[in-house]
Amino acid sequence: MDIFKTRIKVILRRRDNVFWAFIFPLLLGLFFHLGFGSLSEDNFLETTEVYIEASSLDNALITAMENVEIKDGKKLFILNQEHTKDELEVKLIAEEITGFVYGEDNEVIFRITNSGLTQTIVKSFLDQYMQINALVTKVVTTNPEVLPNVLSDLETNVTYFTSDLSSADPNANVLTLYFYALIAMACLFAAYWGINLVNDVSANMSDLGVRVEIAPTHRLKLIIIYFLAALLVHYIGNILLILFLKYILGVAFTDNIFLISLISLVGTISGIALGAFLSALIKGSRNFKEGIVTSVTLVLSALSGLMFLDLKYYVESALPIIKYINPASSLTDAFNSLYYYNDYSMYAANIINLVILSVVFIFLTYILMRGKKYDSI
Amino acid sequence: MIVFKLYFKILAKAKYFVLITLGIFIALTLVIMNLLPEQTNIYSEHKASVVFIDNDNTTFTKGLKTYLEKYADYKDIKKENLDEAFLYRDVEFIMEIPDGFTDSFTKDENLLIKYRAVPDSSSSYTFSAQAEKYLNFARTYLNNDLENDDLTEAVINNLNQEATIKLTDTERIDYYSIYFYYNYSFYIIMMLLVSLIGTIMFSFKSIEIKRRNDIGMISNRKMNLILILANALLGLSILLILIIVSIILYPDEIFKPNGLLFVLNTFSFTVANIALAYLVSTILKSVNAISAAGTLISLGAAFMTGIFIPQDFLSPTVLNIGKILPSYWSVRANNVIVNLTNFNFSLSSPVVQSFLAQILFTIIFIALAILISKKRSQAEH
Repeated sequence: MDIFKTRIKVILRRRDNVFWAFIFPLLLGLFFHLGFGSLSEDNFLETTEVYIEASSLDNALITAMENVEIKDGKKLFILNQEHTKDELEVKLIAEEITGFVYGEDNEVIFRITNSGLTQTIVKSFLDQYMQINALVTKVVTTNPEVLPNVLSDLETNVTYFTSDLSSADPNANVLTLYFYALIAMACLFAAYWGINLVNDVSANMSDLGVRVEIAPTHRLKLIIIYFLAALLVHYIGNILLILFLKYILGVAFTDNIFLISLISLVGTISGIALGAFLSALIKGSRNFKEGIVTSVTLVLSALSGLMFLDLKYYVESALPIIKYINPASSLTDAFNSLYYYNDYSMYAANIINLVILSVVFIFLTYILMRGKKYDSI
Repeated sequence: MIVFKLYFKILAKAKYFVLITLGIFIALTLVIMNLLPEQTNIYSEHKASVVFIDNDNTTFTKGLKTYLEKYADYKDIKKENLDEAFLYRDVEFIMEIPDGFTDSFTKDENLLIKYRAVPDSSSSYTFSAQAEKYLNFARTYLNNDLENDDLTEAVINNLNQEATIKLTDTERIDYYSIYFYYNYSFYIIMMLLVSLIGTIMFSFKSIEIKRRNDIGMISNRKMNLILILANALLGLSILLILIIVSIILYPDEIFKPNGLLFVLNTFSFTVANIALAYLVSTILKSVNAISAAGTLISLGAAFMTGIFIPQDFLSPTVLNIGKILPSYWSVRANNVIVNLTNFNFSLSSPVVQSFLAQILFTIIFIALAILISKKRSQAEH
């Protein structure tokens, strides 16, 4: 128990590691929140102001445009009818407006500077008006007796669509995944403690290691104690990060705290294991190892979408294997399985994948570290 | 000269860091350039990305698919990957026509098309409105026997009636791409300058080295002057590299007045950040703290002043906090430069305000740095 307490003190005294492992993810989460906390990737329908020259257009068209609704009384268009065509043309050239509608020789004309989504919405409406007109004209000339029926058919809008039943939540905001990738990064930063762990018990890597190796305490016992100390400290930090994101910044998580904390626990273990493995594999100073660990964790985080979300999607679509060997990916997916997919088997698969990765890292570390004897050091 | 040489010797140790950072920046710029929509003088409808699954496969449903081509960018995605593709918006609208749909439709029965879309999003609304229109016109034709044997052809002929589009034909130069480049360059400049200048200046700071320098030939004042010059030279060289790259990437835009204003704006930003880096290196006491500060200041500024996320999307509170950072003013100026056609400047122009703000920041940062280092050296003596 004494060794455990001392070890926790040692960990907390590595101030730069404490900063990167705990403070940095919190600040980055705060930046994410300030930047895009209230944003979404999607454009939602908004009322659009449309400039028209009223005198050259049919009243029926104007009334129809005024009446179309997005839903619940929210109008799709607000018409601005104050200007003549020439005045509107001047405004258009000066780029004060992006387009306007006028009529000429029985045609409806939409004058614009460039293509775009708003333009398509306005044009679709104008098209529909023209198409109804064309049909009515045709009916009047060919079989006028069905005209009342045609008009009533045109007025009733039957919907032929029904939403499909997928367990995935269509309202899910993909930007939430940035926060999940951030937690994944914070879990992997436990790798710094993994380096310290290996360094401090290896006689060829640190003075402390020399002392430890000749001490009567069994090395495996020490390793286990060091591991548990690192796990405890980092796990607390990680849970604090999740609580901060969930309750202070309001990031969407499932309410099942147990499932979330299990991801964090397995993630932290895999982070320490990854760090220990890299530390045992690479020969060099502590700074050099930390540099490597920083690069590796950042590359893994980038691949899980931390810097550019679509990168995860494109890379994993092209190379699905990445999903299984990148712990950051599995962590992000585990959170996402609860948020978007509502799929517990997917959650379990990711947790199992993380456990397997951790076991592989620990086993490889063991192979690299076992049975060393020094004649002189 | 000896100080100058030493400065660049220390800098040379960080060459990989500089090269990798600039390399990533340029690669990212190229990716973004490809993603930005190209401005053309031909009208095209906005296209939603759609997965169209047709289990019925009749002339009627094929006609629907052909008609919707104008409004859709059809994607071929495996069924098991649809959920994921939908989350990342690789597909915005998924529709599945059930087997027997045409038959049920002509008999006025009630077999429905399954779909999934982001509720109330503009893109999916526009697309589904077109699909509904096709089906509702077809229903009107059927109910009143107007179709003359071929329903699909009759409906499509009807829907070919459209409003006329008249595009303005003025040649507009599109500055969006170069605007993104110079906005992102603020982040790179901040990050590189604070970490590089911070680390190098730190090497001169330890008390042993200071004492050795005190008894050396070169006076303290001269030494500081040389260091400031070297810092300025480093900052301007990074700026020069960025400008050269932008000349290669944007040869058409860079020599226009707007392009030159981007460069000038970035120049004044660089000057203020050399001063900021100098200040940071004076305040902080370890190399680790300096590199942490470099990361935090640049990332914080990037998120809070409109480099990563446009200022229009940020909340007023965030923007007000952002005002204490040089990048807020520079980004604000860039937002104006990108659409600028009138080059008569007054004091109320954000472009002019940005220049003035950077001068003010430079003076404040240097004054603070001098104040702090005086206090420190008195304490050391």
